[in-house]
This record gives sequence, structure tokens and C-alpha cells, in this order.
Amino acid sequence: MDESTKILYQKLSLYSGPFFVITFIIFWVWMGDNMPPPHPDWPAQAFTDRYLEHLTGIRIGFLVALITICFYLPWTGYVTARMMRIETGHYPVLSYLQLLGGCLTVMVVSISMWCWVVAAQRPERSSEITQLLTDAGWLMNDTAYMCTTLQMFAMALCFLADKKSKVPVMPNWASYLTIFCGATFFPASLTAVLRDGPFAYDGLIGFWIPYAAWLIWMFVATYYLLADLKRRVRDGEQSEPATN
Amino acid sequence: MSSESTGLAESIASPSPDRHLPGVEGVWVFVFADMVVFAVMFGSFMADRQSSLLLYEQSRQALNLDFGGINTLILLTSSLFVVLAIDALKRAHSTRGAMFFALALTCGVAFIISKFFEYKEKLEAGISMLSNDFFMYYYIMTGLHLIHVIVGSVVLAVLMVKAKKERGQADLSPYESGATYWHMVDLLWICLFPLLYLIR
Repeated sequence: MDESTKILYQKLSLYSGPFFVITFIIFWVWMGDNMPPPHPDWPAQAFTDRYLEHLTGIRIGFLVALITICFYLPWTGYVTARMMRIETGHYPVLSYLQLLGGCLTVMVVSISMWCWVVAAQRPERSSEITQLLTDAGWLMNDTAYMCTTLQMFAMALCFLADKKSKVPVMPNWASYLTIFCGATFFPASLTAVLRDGPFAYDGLIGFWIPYAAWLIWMFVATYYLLADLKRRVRDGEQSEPATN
Repeated sequence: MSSESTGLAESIASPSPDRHLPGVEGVWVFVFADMVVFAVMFGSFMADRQSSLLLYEQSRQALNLDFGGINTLILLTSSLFVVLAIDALKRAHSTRGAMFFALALTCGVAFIISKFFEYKEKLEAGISMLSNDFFMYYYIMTGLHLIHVIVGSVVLAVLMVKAKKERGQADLSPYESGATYWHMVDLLWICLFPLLYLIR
């Protein structure tokens, strides 16, 4: 593969991050009727009514989002490769952790949406089952976030310890913001116990802050990774032999 | 006093070259963002409180003010020790710095133990997170704060070990970063204590 093709694929990988975020907002948030999310304390029938009222939107929204969530993978792949340039040697454990975390994030978010796709497949079924599938989908995201948290922590720790790049991949504050954003997921575990108030799966601490933190982090990280890619291309790091 | 205040005014007007942001910039971003999340919780607590004042007041009276007061004293003392540790390291007294970090860490551990007994007392009285909205906030806000104290105690332990190994003038940045975080943990408690234990 020649250099310009390699760089093209690296750029495409990076841009697939914001592409995922934008499609997630359009299809998961807006079409999927997740803004605001259903209220966990509703009676079961209200869940069925929600699916019946927005059936087409919910079906299209989550089916498309189930495809576009996978654009998180090339982005994760690029970040892994970039981290390995910093964490050289045969034991790039942070890079691998970030890779595994990113891959599993896709599975967690996919299983969550898959629950809602199943609910929307037969909305006329007993409303308790529709309620169960909706709850299960939300709790998948809100309690199995640790893969994503570890992905973010690994990335931040690697960039903070960078001694190889002349200019740090991300400024110090962005790495700390990454750690903070990953940590905002922890209170979401409370969504499994509390069905009303700020800690429920439609609450400020259970939904708005952690989901916003995740998407904002992706934008901030992509912004600096793109600037870093430009610098690398300009300074000709590509021509260096890969040293391990 | 007057000469002191003039000196302060001068130093603000023309900052000396060694005036700097303590610690790394990222810690301040982290602290700010973390405090925004707590501010959201405090705001949400105050808003919900308005709609059921009687319940919140009755529940508040079930809290043990002794634990709250002792917790406050412990954390304020720990912050003082952290200040003294940084001051010692600035003067290249690394052993004294390590000792003050050890004292601050002792306070952190004392806070964790005291919280354990406070929770135990509440749970034995049959009061849990699900008892009512006040206790939901009580358990979650003090619990999230406790997690901060545990993380902070680990940070203090690391800084203590690091200070012990210092020879000569140390790079203060990691110490100041850890100290900034610990002061935030203290400050959050200073907000939490009146909010939960004192407001009538």
C-alpha cells in the first residue's frame, strides 16, 4: 500500500468517529425517540403506546443506528495504532485495553438497541414484555459502561505519559477531560435501582450527563487526533520504518 | 497588616515570575467538571426539597450530626496537612512533606471508617437509599463523595511514597495536582454537610 493510500484510510478511520456521533444523534436520539428517554416509572401500557406512536421512527432509527455504531470500530482502530507509536515495544497493554474497550462498547450499545428492535418488531405483544425489553435495553447501556470507561482511561493515561511525540497528541486538559467523561458513567449504575428522579435512566445524572460526556469526548478527541495526523503527515513520520 | 495588604496588591498587579497555576492544567479542568456534576446534584436536591419540605426536615433530623461534624473537622484538618506538605516540599524538606502527607492520609482513612459506621447505624435503623427521596440523595451524594475520598486517599498514599524518595528540590507539579484534587474533595464536603445535615 502506498503512503497516500495509508493516510487516506487513517483519515477515514478518524472521521468515522464524528460520523458515528452524528448518525447516533440523528437515528438513536431523534428518530429512536430517545430525547427525552421513556420514563422508567411509567405503567407498562405507556411503553407499548410509545412504540405504537413512533413505530416507523423507532424501527428505522435503531436499525440504522445498529449499522452506524460500527463506525466506532475504525476510529478505535486508529486510536490503537496511534497509541502503539507511543507505547512502543512488545507489551502495548494500554493500547490493547483501549482496543478491547472500544470493541466491546460497540457490542454493549448494539445489544441495547437490539432489545428495542425486538420490542418494535411485535409492538402488539403484552405490554409487560415491551416494558421489559425497553428496561433491558437501557440497563444494558447504563450498567455495562465499564468497557467504555476503561477504553477512555487507557487512552488518557497513554497520552499523558507520551514521551515520543514532539507535540502531545492531546493537550493535558483534554486527557483529564477524557478521564472525567469516563468517570461520569459510574453513577449510571444507580439506574438499576432507582426509577424516578435524577438517577433514573431518564434523569440528569442517569442519562443527560453521561451520554453527553461520551459524545463530547469523541468530538474533542477526534479534533486533536486529526490535528496530530496532519502534523505527522507534514513532518513525515510516515516515512519512518515502524519500530517495535 | 497594611504593609501586607499593599504587598498583596502589588503581587496581584505585577505577578512575579514564579506565580503559576498549581499542578497541571488538566486537574483544574477535571475539578471544574466534577464540581459541575455535584452542583447539578445539589440543585436537584434543593429543587426536590421545595416540594416536600416536611419530609426532608423530618428525615434530616434522623441524621447523626456528630458524624457530620467530625467528618467536617477531619477533612478540614487533612487539607491543612496537605498545605503543610506542599510547603515543606517547596522548602525541599521531603521527609517532613512525606510526614504531612501521611497525616493527611490518616485523616482520609479516618473519614472512610467514620462513614462506614455512619452508614451502618442508618442501615441498622432500617433507613436505606429507598426509604425516601431525602435518603436517596443522602446515600448517593455522600456515597459519591466517599468514592472521591477513597480515590483521594490513594493519591495521598502515592504522593507520600513519592515524597519520601525525593532528594533536593522536587518538581512540585504532581504534588500540587494531587493537593488540588484533595482540596476539592474537602470543598465538596463543606457544601454537602450544611445541605444535608444543617439546612432546616
